[in-house]
Amino acid sequence: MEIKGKVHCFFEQSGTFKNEFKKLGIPAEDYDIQNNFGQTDHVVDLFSHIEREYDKTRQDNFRHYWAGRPRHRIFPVYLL
Amino acid sequence: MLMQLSDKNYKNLDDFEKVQKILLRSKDRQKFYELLLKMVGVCIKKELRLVFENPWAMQHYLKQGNFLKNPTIVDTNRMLRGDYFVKPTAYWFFNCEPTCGFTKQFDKKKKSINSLPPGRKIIDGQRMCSEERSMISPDYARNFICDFILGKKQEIGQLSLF
Repeated sequence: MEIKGKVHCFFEQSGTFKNEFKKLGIPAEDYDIQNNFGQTDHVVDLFSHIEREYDKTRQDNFRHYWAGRPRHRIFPVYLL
Repeated sequence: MLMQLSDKNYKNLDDFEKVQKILLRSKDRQKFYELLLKMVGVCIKKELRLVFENPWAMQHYLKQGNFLKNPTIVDTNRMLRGDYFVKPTAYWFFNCEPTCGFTKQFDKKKKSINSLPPGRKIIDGQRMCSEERSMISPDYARNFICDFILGKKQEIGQLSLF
C-alpha cells in the first residue's frame, strides 16, 4: 500500500517499528506512556486520548444523524 | 489467561481470594477490550488505516469470536522473518489490506519464554512478564513492513531452491 503521509506507531514496541519505517524512508513517530529508552517522540497517556477521541467522535456522529432530519420526525421520548 | 482457580499464580490463595483476583482480572480485561473497540471505532469512522497485533496463543480472548472480525493475518512462526521467538502473532487490518510478501530470514538463535529472566515483582509476590518476552527484533519489524504493508521486495533474505 502507498503511504503518503506519516506513520504513527502506538504502545509497546512502537519505537522498533518507527525506526524501521524511517530507515525505509517513511516518516514515522511513536507514542507511548513510557520512555524507557529515551527515544519516544510523544510521551502521552494514549488511553485517555482514545477515550476522549471516541467520545468526541460519538457526539459528532449523533449531531450528524439528527442534522438533516425534518423536525416533525423527531419525537422526544420520555421514560416514565 | 489466569481465569481458573487451578492456575499456578493463585496457588498460595484460598478459593475466595482467588475469586477476588479473577474478578479484578476480568475488570481489567473488559477495560482494555473496550479501549481497543473504541480505538478501532474511531479509525473506522475517520477512515484511518489501522494495523494492530496481538499474540495468538492457544488460549486467547479475541480468538473465541469476541472481536469485530477475525485477524487478517496470522504469522505462526516469527523466526522465519528474523525474530527471536516463534510466538504466533495475529494482525488486524482496518481500512486497508495487507500486501503479499515473504522475506525469509531464519538466522536467529531461538529464545523461549521459559528461558528468559523473570520479570520484576509487583504486588503480592506476583511477577510481571519479562520485558524481553515482548521484544520484536528490528529485522522482523522491517520484514513485516516490507512484506505486508509496503509490498516491497528486499535484497536480503534467503533464496530457496524452488
